This record gives sequence, structure tokens and C-alpha cells, in this order.
Amino acid sequence: MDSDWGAVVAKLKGDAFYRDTFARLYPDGISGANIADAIAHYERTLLTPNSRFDRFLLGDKEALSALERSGYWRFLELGCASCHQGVGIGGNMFQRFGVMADYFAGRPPGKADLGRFSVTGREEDRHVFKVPSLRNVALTAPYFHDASAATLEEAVTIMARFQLGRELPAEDLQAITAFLRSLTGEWEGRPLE
Amino acid sequence: MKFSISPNHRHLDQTHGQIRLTLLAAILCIAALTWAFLRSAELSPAQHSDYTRQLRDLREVNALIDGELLANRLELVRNYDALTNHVTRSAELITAARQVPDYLPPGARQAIGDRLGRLGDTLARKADLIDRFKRDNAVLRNSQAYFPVAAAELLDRHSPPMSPVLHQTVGRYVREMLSFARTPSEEGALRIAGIVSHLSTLSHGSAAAPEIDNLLRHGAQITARLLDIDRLMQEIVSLDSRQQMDALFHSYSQGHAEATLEASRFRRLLYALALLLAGFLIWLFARLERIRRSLATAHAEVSARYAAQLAAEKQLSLHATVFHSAHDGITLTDAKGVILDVNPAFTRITGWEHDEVVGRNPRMFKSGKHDEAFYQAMWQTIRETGSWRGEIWNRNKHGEIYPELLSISAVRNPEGEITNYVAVFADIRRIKAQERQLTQLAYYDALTELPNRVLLSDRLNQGIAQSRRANSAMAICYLDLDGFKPINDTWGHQVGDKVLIEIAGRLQSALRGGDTVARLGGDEFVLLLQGIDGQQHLTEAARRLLSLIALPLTQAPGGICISASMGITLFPNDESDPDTLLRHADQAMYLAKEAGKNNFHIFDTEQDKFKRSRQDRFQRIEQALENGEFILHFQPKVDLRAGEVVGAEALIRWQHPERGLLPPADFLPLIEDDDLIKAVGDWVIESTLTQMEAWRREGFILPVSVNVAARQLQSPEFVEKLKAALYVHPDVACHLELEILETAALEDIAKSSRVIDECRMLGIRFALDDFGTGYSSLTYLKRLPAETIKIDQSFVREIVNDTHSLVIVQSVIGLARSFQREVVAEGLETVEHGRLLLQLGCDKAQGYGIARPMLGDDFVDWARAWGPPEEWQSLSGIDWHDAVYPMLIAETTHRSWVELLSQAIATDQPIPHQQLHDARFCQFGRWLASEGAKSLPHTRLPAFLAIDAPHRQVHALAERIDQHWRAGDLAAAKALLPELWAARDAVLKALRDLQIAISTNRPAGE
Repeated sequence: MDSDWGAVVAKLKGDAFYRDTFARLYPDGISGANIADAIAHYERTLLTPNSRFDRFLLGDKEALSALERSGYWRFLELGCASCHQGVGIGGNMFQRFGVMADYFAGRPPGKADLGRFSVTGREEDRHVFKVPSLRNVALTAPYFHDASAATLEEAVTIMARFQLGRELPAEDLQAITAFLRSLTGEWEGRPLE
Repeated sequence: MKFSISPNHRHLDQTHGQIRLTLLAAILCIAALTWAFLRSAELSPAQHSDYTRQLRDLREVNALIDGELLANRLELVRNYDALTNHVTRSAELITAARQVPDYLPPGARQAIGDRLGRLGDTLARKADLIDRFKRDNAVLRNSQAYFPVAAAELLDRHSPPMSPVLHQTVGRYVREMLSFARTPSEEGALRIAGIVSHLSTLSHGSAAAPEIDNLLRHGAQITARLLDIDRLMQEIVSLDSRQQMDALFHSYSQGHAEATLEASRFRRLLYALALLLAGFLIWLFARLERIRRSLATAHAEVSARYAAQLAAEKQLSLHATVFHSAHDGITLTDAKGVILDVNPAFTRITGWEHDEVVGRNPRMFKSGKHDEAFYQAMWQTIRETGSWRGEIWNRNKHGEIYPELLSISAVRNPEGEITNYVAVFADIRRIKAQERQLTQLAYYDALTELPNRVLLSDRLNQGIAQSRRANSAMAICYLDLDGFKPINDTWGHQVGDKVLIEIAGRLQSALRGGDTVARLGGDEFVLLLQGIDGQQHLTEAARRLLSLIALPLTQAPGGICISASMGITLFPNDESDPDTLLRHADQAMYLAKEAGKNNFHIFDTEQDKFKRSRQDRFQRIEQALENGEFILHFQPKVDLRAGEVVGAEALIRWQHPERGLLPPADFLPLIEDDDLIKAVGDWVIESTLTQMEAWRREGFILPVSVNVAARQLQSPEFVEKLKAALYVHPDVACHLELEILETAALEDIAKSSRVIDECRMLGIRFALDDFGTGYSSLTYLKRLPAETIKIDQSFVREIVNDTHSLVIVQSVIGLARSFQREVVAEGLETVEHGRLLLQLGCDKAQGYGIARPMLGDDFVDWARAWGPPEEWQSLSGIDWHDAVYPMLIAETTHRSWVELLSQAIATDQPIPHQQLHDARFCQFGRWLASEGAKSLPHTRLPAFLAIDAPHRQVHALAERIDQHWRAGDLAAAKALLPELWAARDAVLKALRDLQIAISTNRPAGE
């Protein structure tokens, strides 16, 4: 996703489908603002309810396995839920990547690594990214803004290390990732794959 | 037609201008009204309510944010969904609130905008702070949660165990940290910082160093985040968003109040404007009404004009139609005579097309048949009377000259100047031809082609005029073919027509120039011969014409001949009008025909004048009847033997104002053949009956006879009229007697007898008047049922001197006696007549010898006074012997003999008798001798013997008279006459005595 708007616009304009569709919906056709608006509209349609975790929260204790349940407890105890909270299990705040340790140490600073800084220009927002929602997280690999974590386990491990300042035992990792996989919901009545 | 419309037009223009201004004002007014309405309507309560709710929501959301923030800070809530939503919501509300209501005054809007901007900034800042709060709070919460766990693990860790100092230091650090976490303070932070640096040093090289580092990192997080959070919270609290919102509210309320005030001002303005508009509308309606009225007037005016114009257009169109469809050619020129327009009929008649003649002068149509004077006269007429009409010869395009009937009218403008001429004309070639044909028909006889009666009349007039001019005579010859009808009957009309044509040709060939021969129809021709020079000339001409006609006919078969009878009158000897001239010639022609045909007769002017006086007299008679100039005289009828008045005859007289009393012979013959006689006859009957009634009232009842003319008797209505008259006078009706002339009754004996029969049914008696003058025949007398026969007075009067009359009278009396008819003698003038009539056996008579006709008023007195002469009385008882009759004849003979002699001497003529001296030689002498020789008883009577002596004396005297006359001594001759008459009377006395003697002394049984 390391792209600038000019390249994105040029790329979309090369596609006849996007050209026509944008022309129908926006008077000025394809532009950065219109693309963002279109994505925001799209995202608002991405309601994927009825995950097993949802059913669990609604009182179906059997909706989660023991491992998943223990994963959920670990998720809460370890402090994941401090940021990944709310209905979306995240997605409603920003957080610095590398709270407990410098995640970006020892690597050249990329533009995408600036995070929210590139929007606000405030130093305090350097390396601050949006806390993503963990719904359907099992389906959205690779992870992080730089797609550096290929697996859920890897992402959870990095999250625990840099955000929580903890090294997770294997059973915790296993439980948490199991829990995270229970967050995969349904879209338009069908389980997501 | 002209209309003077400019004044009204100007008025209309003004009106239009005013209307435009008015409309502009109305539009402006409406615009202002709209504006005011919009301004007053801008303060929308809904918008106000929306906006205030927005502001309220904003404040509420702001409060919710603060509440949620605090809840998260106190760990009462462990997710940021609500907080995030509130922040998002507040941002949305701020954005929405930037849509400041339009109704606010600009100042208020500006203030609100400013305040919103500041509030937006504040809220954005707050959102930023919250964002950081969320981050720090999450990290802090984790570290605070993990720090005791990590501390406990570290402190409880045994292998390898920490040094006590380290352990103790860690313990102190943990306690300080936990204390700080509960009540953060700068001192606590300093203390912790001191412990941390000490601990970092202590842990260096220790087996627990990583754990200690980790713990320290978490502790550092706690201290940093706690301080950050406190700062953040403080800053958030210090953001005066709430005050700003209040101020915003205040600003808005103020603005709204201003706007409300302004809206109310606009409402008032609106009301004022509405009032103004209403007033304006009222004014406008009033004005419109006024305009409408004036328009209605104008409309009526325009309608009238339009109607007039329509009518004018219609008339124009009609005129155009007339112009184009007229059968007659029409030429329209200007005042100089230049052609402006012609119609299609013009082209049809003249052959000239419209374009060929427009702009030219009608002179181009001149035929050359009329001289300049003709055209001058024509134009003179047009100038003087405005028009001219007549026949004119013109030339058409093909060069043909033709006649046209042309009317030229001058068209004048109101000033009286001639502006145009209109010529209307028709080609009258055909009419002319027809005229000729008609003339031929009208003026010429189709068969012979001679002039007919009409043309003759014309020629006659011309001839008369010419005669007068030339002072010469003109003969008008009326010619009728003799025996033409038999030719027609025998050979047929075709031959008859040929004869007529041939005769016509001959007559025509005989004429000189100026003479005329005309056929009147049938076989009648009239010739007008001019320049007749005397009787001789005329006679020769007439003979020549007759001989020409008498030549054998070539066109009839069998070489037959025909002659003609010709009547001629000569103008100016007969200076009559043309019709009369012809009639005179016609009359003369009849005379020629009567004279034996193939002859001519010249009209006698003198004779005609007499006839003409007859006509005048006729009319005078008619007038006399009307004027009541006729009167009735009544002549008594008496019974000679009885000596009584037995009746009367009503006789008409004309009491002529100038000529005195006229007898019927003076006027009745004139009207006998006319219906006037009937009127006169009716008057006589009516007057007679009236007179009879008058007499009757005096007790005098007498039969009265009335003369009825043949025409009256035979008129169909005679009996009915008579009935009517009798009905009016019923008391005297049965005493009326009608006298009809024997000749009249015999004209149509069947009819006469029928009428007589019908009248007898009414009780009317009839008398045959003037009997003996007609062709009396026994048969007729038998068939005419008249009761009475009246012997004509011409016989009666002569019975004394004329033996023929005596014989006739005696015969009539005998006839009447045979047919058992009564007989009345008329014309009894002397006593002698009466005596003779008595002796002849006719008892009834009338005449001057009894009484002249007299007025009705005198009649009664006369009748009562009348008595018969003595002689008649003496004879009345005598029944005459048959032998008396020859004696009466002898008597008359003798009297006649003496009379003739007397008359001869009186008129100085030779005496007609021979052997005057010998008494035996005369008729009477011979009778006397023969009687004497018969030795009849009466011859022995002294009376008979007394006859001879005076008779001889008569002859002796006659002898002497003759000698005197022969000697030329007329006076001596005349002187002897009385002696002669005395001798005669002696003879007659003796004879009369003899008659009486033989009648009275007759032996019984004879």
C-alpha cells in the first residue's frame, strides 16, 4: 500500500470499469478524494456479524472452544483489549507502533512508517497508526502497515513484544490466535473464507 | 368611404401609455410585495428549531464526551466506541452548525461564524487530546495491570535469586511506583527517578536484569502516561468549549431576536404594501371599468364603422361582380377619356384585350360612319345632362363595323368636376337584324310582301303630308277582288295565294314612284296614288287598274279571270284623318260592288257629311234619353160605330230643347238598328204603364198600346224585362197592348211568334202595326198570333181618292174578319174616312180625324168630352149591303178622276184624262152604264137615277176647264173648279143616298 495518490489515480483511470463507474457516481470522475470517499462507503458496508465470538458474547458459551475461551481471557488479561476494544475489537483509536520498544529501530525510515505523522505533521504522531479491528483478522494476512507479519502468530508475538512489553508463552500464543480466528464473521449471511 | 379616426387614435395611444405605466407599477408593486413576503418568510420556525436543536445537541455531545472521557479514565468503561462516536458526532454537529440560518442578520451570522470557527478549533483540539488520551490511557492501563504482576514475579523469583539490596530496591521501586500510580506527584516521580537510576545501576550484570529492565520500562510508562494523562485531562478541562457554546447560543439568540424584529418589520411593510396593492387594484379596476366603458363606446362606434365598411366592401364587391359579370361591355375612362379599365364583356364584344386598350382613347373604336357633328352633339349632351344614350357604329378589333347601344355617363366628384366617364354598351347587331326581321313582319304582308296595314297607315300619313306640301291630290283606293272566295273554295288556298301574289305583282307594276300598294288581308288591297290631277285622271287610273286585274290569270288553272271592285276617296277633297279616309274608300268600294262589280265608285263627301250628322244625332238621342227629353203622347182609338173611346196608342215624342217637339220619324229610324232602341222602348213601356196607373187613379181605365221595335222584340231579355215592368205596375198590366210592325214580325217569324205567345201568357195583347206595307201573306198572318191588325194609314188616307187603297183596305178588313182578328184603321183624317171605314166594315180607327196625339194629362178630359160626328152616328146603325162595296169603288174612282183634274190645273199641267166631254167614257161612267144595264132593283131607285145628271155636268165642266187651260187661260180654268167639285159632290151625294137606300130598304131575308 506504499503508493501515492497520483499513481493510484493513474492506475484506476487505466481501468475502463473504474472509469465508467466513477464517472457515474462522481461528477469529476476519478480523484484522490473520490477514491477515499468510495472506499469509506465500501467499508461501511463491510458488516460481518455473527462470528462465533459474537454468538459467545450473546450467551452461547459453546460457541467458543476452551482454547478460544482461554485465548479470549488472555487477550483481555494481557492488555490487548486496551486498544483492541469496542464492537470492532479495535478500529476506534490510534496507537504508536512500538510502545514498549522501538519497532522501527535498525531499519531505514520508510514513508509508510511515519504513520499518522504524514497526516498531522505532529511529532507526537510519528509511527502512530490506526488500531485495526480484529474482526476477520485471520483472513487479512499479511499484517501491519508494512505487511511485515505473514502470520497471525507472528503478528500477535510482535504486538505482545512491542506494544505490551511481554514475551508470550506458546500456549498463550496458541490460545490467542485461536481466539482471533473465532472473530471471523459472516458477510451477507455466508461465512467468510 | 373615409373615416376620420385620428382623434380617437390619439386617445387610444394615451390610454395604452397609461396602461403600460399602470402595468409597470403593478409589477413593481408585486415585486416589492414578493420581496417583503420572502423577507418576512425567511424567519422559518422550523429552521430555527432545527438550528437550536443542533446547538443543543452539540453542547450535549460535548458533555457526553467529557463524561465518557472521565469514565474511561476511571476505568468505568473499557472501550472508546462511545467516546469515538461522540467526538465524531460533535465534529458533524459543528460542520452542520456552520450552515448558519439565512434569516439571521449579517452581523449575527458573522459573529456566529466566528464563534463556530473557534468552537470548531476547540473541539478539534479536544478531539486530538482525546485521541492522545486514548493512546496513553491504553498503554497506562496495560502497564498498570502488568506492573504488579511483573513486580510480583520478579520479587518472588528465586533462581537465580536477586541480591537483597537489589531485591530491596526493587521492592522499594515497586512500592513507590504503586503509590505513584495511585496518587501521582512530582515528588513521587522524582523519587522514582532516583530509585530507577539506582536500580539500573544495581541490576546491571544481575541475572534478573532483563526482568528488572522490563519492569522499569513499564514503570516508566506508568509515570509518563499518568503525567501525560493528567495533563491531557487538565487541558481538556481547560478548553472553554462549554463557554464557547454558551456564547454561540447567545449570539444565535441575539441574531434570532434581531431577525424576528426585522421579519416583523417586513410583515408590517408587507401589510402596507398589500394595502397599497389593494388600493392600486381598486384604482385599476375603476380605471379599467372606465376604459371598458369608453372601449364599449368605441367598440360600438367601430362596429358601426366596420358594418358600414363591410357594407361598402360588399357593395364594392357587388359592383366588381357587376362589372365583371355584366353582359354589357363597360369602359371606364378618366376625365380626359383615357381608358382605365374594361370588363370581360368589353373584350368579348370588341375583341380588344384589357391590356391593349387601357391607357388609350376610345377614339380608336370609331367606325367612321358618324360625322364629327354626331360626336360633338354626343359630348354636348354628356356635358349638359351628364349622360348620353344612343346607338352608335363602332369598329371592333377585326375591323368589323357593328352597331352598339351605348350609354355614357359622366362621374362627378363632390365638387362637381367630372372625374370619370363610364360607357356601357351592348352589341346590337343581332337586335338590329331582329329589328329588320320584325320590321318586315310588322310592316309587310308575309304572302305578297306588300306593305301591310301598319305600314299603310304610315304611308298614308306621309302621303297626306306630301299632298299638303305639294298641294296635290292623293287617291286612296280600296280594292276588293270579286269572286275570290270561289277561287279559294274551288282550287284551294294555294291557288288562292298564287292569285293574290299575281294580283299584288300587277298592282305593284302599275305604280309610279311615291305610290303605295298595300294588302290589308284576304283579297283586300289599298292603293295610294299621288299627284291625282282631276277627276278625269283619277277615273283613267282606276279603269287602268281594273283592266290590269281583269287580265287572265297565269297562276290559276283554266285561264280564269278575276275582277275587282274599287272604292276611291280623294284627299284633300275628303279631308279626313287616315282611318276615316280608308273607311270612306271602303264604303265607296261597297257601293261599287253593289253597282255590279268590276267597277269603281268615288266616295261622295256630301253624302258622308249627312251620315255623319246621323251619328251626331244618334248620340244626341242617347243623351236625350238620359236627360229625360222624351215624352209620351197618346192617340185615342175609337169605335166609329159605337162612338166610344176604346183605347189609346202611346207615341213617343222628343221635346227637343232647340228643335221643339219632334215626331218619332225624326229620330227612331236612326236608332232602330242599335241597342239604344231597346232602351228607348223600355222607357216607353215603363212610362206608359206609369201613365196608365195615373189614369187608373182617376178612375179612367183604358187599354194602351205601345210600339215595339223589331230589335227590342227579338232581344233575348225582352220578355223578362216586360215581366219586371208589369210586376211593378200590376193593376194596369192586363191593359197593355204591344204593337209590332208587320215587317218587323216577319223578319224572324218563328221568334216573333214565340215572343208573342210568351207575352200573351202574361195577358198582353198584340197588334200588327202598319199592316199591308209588308209582304203580307196569309200564311204569315196565320202564324202570327196577334189579336189585332192595324191597317197602315197610307192606305186608309187614300181610300177616298185611290181605289187601289180602297181595295187593299177592304181586303185587309176581309182578311182580318176571316182570321177573326180585330182590325183598326190608322190615319183616319176626315169624317169621310170614317164613313168609308164604317161602310167597309172597319169599326175601330184612330187618326187626326178623331184626335191628334195628346199628353196623358189631357187625355182623360178629351175622352170624356169626345163624341163622334153626326154622319157616323147616322150611319152607325146601318148594316151595309154587299152591293155597296162596288159603289164605294165607283165613288172613289169618280172622286179620284176629279182630283187628278183639279191637281193638274192647280199645277198648270195638262189634264191627264181623255174624252173629257163624254160622261160614258170615264171609269165611273162605264160603271154607271154597266150598273144601269144590269137592271138590278137599286138601278130603279131614284138615287141611282139622280147620279147621271151631275155626272154629266162634271164632264161638261171638265171639258170647259180643259178648253180654258188649252187656251192658256189658267185662271178661267181654275175658276171653274169649285163648280166642278159641286157637281162631283152631287154625284157622290146621290151615290151615298143610293148606298143607304139599298142597305136600309133591303127586303127581308136578303
